[in-house]
Amino acid sequence: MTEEELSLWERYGRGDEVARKELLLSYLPLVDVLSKRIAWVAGWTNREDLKHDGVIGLMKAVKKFDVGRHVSFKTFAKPYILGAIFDSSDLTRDLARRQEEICRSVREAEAELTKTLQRNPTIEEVARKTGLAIEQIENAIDAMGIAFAGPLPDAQDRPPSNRVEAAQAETTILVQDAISKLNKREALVIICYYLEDQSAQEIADRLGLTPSNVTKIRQRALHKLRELLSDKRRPPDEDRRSGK
Amino acid sequence: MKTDDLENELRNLKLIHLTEGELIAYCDQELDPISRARMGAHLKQCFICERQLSLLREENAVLSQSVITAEDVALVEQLIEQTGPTQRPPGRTAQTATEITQRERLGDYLRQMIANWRICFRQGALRGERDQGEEVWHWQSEDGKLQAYATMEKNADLTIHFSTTEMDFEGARLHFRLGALSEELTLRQISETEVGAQVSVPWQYRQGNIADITIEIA
Repeated sequence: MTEEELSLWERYGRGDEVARKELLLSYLPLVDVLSKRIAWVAGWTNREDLKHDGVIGLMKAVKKFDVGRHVSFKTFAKPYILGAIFDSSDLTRDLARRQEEICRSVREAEAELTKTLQRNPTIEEVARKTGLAIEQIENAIDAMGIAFAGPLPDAQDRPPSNRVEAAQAETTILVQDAISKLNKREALVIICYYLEDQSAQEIADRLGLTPSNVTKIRQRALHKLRELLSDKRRPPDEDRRSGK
Repeated sequence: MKTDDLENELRNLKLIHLTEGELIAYCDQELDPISRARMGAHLKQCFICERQLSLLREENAVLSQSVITAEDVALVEQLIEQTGPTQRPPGRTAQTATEITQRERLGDYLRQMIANWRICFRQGALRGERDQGEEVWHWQSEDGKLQAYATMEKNADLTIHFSTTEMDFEGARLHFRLGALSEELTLRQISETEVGAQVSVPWQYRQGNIADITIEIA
């Protein structure tokens, strides 16, 4: 947050209505960009009406925002702005529902294809699987924005008996943690090799090493990771037996 | 874990979608280089996360280059008139904006650093044999301005060092707590271009949950 912005919040905190107006005006472009994305999906809507509704959401956000919270105002305000726009009429509520449905089917198809292909699918592959047009998928992501991230809405309702998925999620966290304990060069070699599918030669060029060095570093890093992971996965009673 | 299994787990990491917080942190360049590289690898291959990142960037760009028109002013004035004045909850008014900015900046660094420490030591106490002087933890802010590292001493104490090139932070007082150990630290000039501090954690204090750490600006 800039000094100027902080000063505005400070003045607004003292009840300065001019500062309130300035804050609203400085964040108006955010309303503009969000209402433009929604208007693009809903050709029948009047963009100015959406913007009007969005400003009402922005006003609510300004009223509720606490500078002491360590979150940016932009992040804080977006759900208020989108909520006010989508909730303004039956038509926009219906639009939100349809976009949510598209998002859900895209995410389900994406998850299924990821399992089958063992890689993230392309937008074309997801479009083929869902029967949606690429533009529909892009519009849905744009309209729902960051709300698209996170678990599927029904994921929380699933019974917790899916132990395979839970174990997989735990393994992922453990592996990520273990990578963060490697030194920077080892971690980068692992990331380039396994996550970016780069060859030893490509990694060597990138990090200023020889390919044989890259291979040695990768082997050493794998050895360290195995040790870190076996240490974490050892049951507590085994720790006691071994005197650790 | 077998080598093949581990290699498969590593390959699977690129399939994991980024959370909202990760996308924002990536966009705002608030990540350590390793996390950034890991997330970058996923972004290269995932159209969903990549598009969401471009939306965040677009929002940041419009906010930084905003042009307010007369119609915008009229719209805001009209809505203010309709809704009337608001009563804000009391905010932090005693400090100057400069003090808040500096304090918030230091606060941001500390939060990122503590998050990294907690992830690193999530499993509890330090395990295994450690060599004297061995660096057991190292963290650097994304902009490279704040560094911290922990070393194991001969007597098995742990020393945590902080240093920053932000000379404005000189004199900042920090309340450091690790488990039952509580210390007041002051950032002092340690070279022409750096201020810093260090704290020693006696071995008996690191037997419990070493991840239980807080560092607050006093």
